[in-house]
Amino acid sequence: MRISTQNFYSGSGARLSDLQAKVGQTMQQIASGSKLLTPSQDPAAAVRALDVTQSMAVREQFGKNRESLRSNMGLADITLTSMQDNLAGINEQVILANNSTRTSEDLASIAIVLKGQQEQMLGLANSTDSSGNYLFAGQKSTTQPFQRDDSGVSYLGDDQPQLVQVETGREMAIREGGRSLFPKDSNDKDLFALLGQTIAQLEDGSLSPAQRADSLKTLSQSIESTQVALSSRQTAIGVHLGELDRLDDLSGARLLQSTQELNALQDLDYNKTLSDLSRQQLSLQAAQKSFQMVSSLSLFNYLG
Amino acid sequence: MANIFSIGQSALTVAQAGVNTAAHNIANAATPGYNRQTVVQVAGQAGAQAAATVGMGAQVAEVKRNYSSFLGTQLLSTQSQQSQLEVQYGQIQQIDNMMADSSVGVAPALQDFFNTLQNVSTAPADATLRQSVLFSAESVTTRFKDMSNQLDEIGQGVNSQIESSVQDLNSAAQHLVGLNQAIVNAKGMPGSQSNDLLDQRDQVLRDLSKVVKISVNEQDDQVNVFIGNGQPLVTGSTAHQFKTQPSKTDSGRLEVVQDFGNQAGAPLSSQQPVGGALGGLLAFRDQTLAPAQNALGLVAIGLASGINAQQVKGYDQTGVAGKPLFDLPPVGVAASSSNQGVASLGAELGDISKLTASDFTFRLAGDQYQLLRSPDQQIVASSANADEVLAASAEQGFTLELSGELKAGDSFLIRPTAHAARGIGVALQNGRDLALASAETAAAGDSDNLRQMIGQQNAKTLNGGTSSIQSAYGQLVGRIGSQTRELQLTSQSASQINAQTETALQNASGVNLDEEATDLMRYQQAYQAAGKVMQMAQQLFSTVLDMGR
Repeated sequence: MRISTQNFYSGSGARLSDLQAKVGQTMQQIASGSKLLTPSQDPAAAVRALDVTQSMAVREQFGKNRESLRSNMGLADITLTSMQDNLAGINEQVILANNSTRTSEDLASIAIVLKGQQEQMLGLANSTDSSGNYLFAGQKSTTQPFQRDDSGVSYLGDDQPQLVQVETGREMAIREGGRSLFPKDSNDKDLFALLGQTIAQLEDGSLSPAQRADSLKTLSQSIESTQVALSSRQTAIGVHLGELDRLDDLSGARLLQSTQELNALQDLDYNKTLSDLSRQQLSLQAAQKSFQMVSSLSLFNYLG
Repeated sequence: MANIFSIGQSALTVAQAGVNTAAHNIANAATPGYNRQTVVQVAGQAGAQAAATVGMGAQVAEVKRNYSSFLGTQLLSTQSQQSQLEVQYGQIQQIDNMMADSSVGVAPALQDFFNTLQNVSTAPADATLRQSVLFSAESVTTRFKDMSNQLDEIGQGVNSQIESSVQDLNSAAQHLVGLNQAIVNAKGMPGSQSNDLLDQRDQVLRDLSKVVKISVNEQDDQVNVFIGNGQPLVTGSTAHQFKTQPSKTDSGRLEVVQDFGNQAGAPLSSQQPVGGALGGLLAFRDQTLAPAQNALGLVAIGLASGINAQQVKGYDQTGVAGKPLFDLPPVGVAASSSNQGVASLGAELGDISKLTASDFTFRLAGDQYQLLRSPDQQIVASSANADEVLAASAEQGFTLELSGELKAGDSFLIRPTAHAARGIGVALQNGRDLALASAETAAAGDSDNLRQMIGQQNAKTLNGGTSSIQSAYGQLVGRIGSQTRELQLTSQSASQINAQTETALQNASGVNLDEEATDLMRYQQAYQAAGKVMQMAQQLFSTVLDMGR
């Protein structure tokens, strides 16, 4: 077979550049640590990597949402515990007052303590979270939910839970209404109203011991029902916090899975790539050497 | 006696021609398109004067050009194919590289936008969180615009390469006309050599076939060259010029037309076998670039429409009904600059789940109104009743409104998605204006509508209800990736086929220096031998002269 000398050179040149391009691409992969430099290298893997990245980002966002929830629920839980303590203190004063031997001075000083405890309870019920939103106002999170008025304390929040997504298809309340924390009795009076009434009665000392015992009984029934209401809210929070923990575990496992999948899609197998590189280098060197040897073979070397 | 001198002389001439030809071959070993030449020598005509016929030496019959016209023609075709795919591959790689960095594409910006919505859901009344939604909306629109601008820049690059291809086309045509003429002249003159001119002409054809696919026929020593669907480029001694002009319906898009002076022919289209670099550019523009720009626009429309539709269902922080969060540019409608009628056409987005990345043409062909899909020119609807055709657009995700009359031949280009990525913007200024609440008198923390908005991230609102915004973007990346991969493979194989053809042609007709060295030695010896003949003739002649003393 004849071989055109020109073609020998241009063909060898083209083959050498091909080999060099391959070495270059492998080096780029090693430098970037990724085997997917462009979508064309593995279109299906590139699309899958986008999907996995997106679902990881959504999952991480759910994790952040859960953090916000956990922080608010923790705050609500602590506040509810303080309210329980406060309630126990009120109860102590009620027991103290419910004694026929109390003098009017005794009762007046109990009234002062109760007043302070009522204020404290109101303050706790109006607690805010780190973003300045009220904890027990439902969706009316910027309105102070428990406000004093002529009839005692009115609830100005609403009963709508403020929901946040914690997982695909699962929403949880970051704030709930506070109305149910202070249940009303058959006369439509809640703890604040009854406390107010008792304080006034203790202050003016108008009631007979028997009447006072009746009034204090009504108040302690309200204390009891309020305590039940606070406990049941705390129980619900406990259940939700437990669910958040389980969701975290689940999400952590899935994130790990996604990370592994993403690594498999994108990350370079250094052992394989480095051995590819040395093989490519070897064949480039061999091609260069053989080109140099063959190109020096010419009949003109012998024409003298 | 005189015979031996002239025989020796003829041998010297032939040997000299051999040495010269070998030298010419050696000199042109690296000349592109050069075909090896060989001396064809024949025995001289025998003298008639002697009883026994003695030969009259040798003479050069011709200096032959070793050329395989079969391989030459094949090479023109493999070269066009290779050049088209190489150009297409080179162009699409730009988009492939653009999509490569997943940390700067549209996907992470979209994700950020929905994350900020999620953050707001933890405290819907928080002004800072609300404002951050607008910031992330701004950044997602910027990503769309950036990508769209990059695609536009690639389109401008395509335009300037089309211009330079057309210049190459025209100058090759002029060059061929000149060579046609020179070859005819050379053949007309006895003893003149046309081999090198033929080589040059073949080389011009070969270079031209890189620009465009050509069909060549030879007539009376001249070549005629046709391109595309048979548009003439060279006929004998006439060069037919081509030129670029902006599309009648899209001024940013250059078309290639035959230049007939006052009027222009129909533009070369990617639907024709244009081939070569020019065909590669047209195919890339129609099959990759415009669909990519449109697909990106579709994602932008998906985001804007989904969020806006939810936004107007809700109420903002001041209890006012929500206004669209995103601005979308109007659907692109362009009347052809050659329309004769006074009709005007308006278009608006319709059911976006029916939108595709296609462009459409509304036209009056004869007495039929037609809606055509680009780039495959598929007729979507055709009727003598304009309203029927206009109504058919609803099935494509947009609506058309015609006012005024079309004249036959009039057309409009409708690009429902093309401008969306470039033109998407944020319409709201204040986080207060986000309509997160579901009712006019809702509580400050009402986030019912917000949670519906968040749901848009995974809602399958596009491609007939099969794709979400994110997955539609993923499909764009996947399509570019697989098109690039396919072009990489096809252009590699076209390049190998072309290299094989070129090697075959070169091996048949290129210069091999060792062979020329052999020829040099052979003709050198022939020259020396002929010299000896002359020397001996001289001695013989002296012998005769000496006899006379």
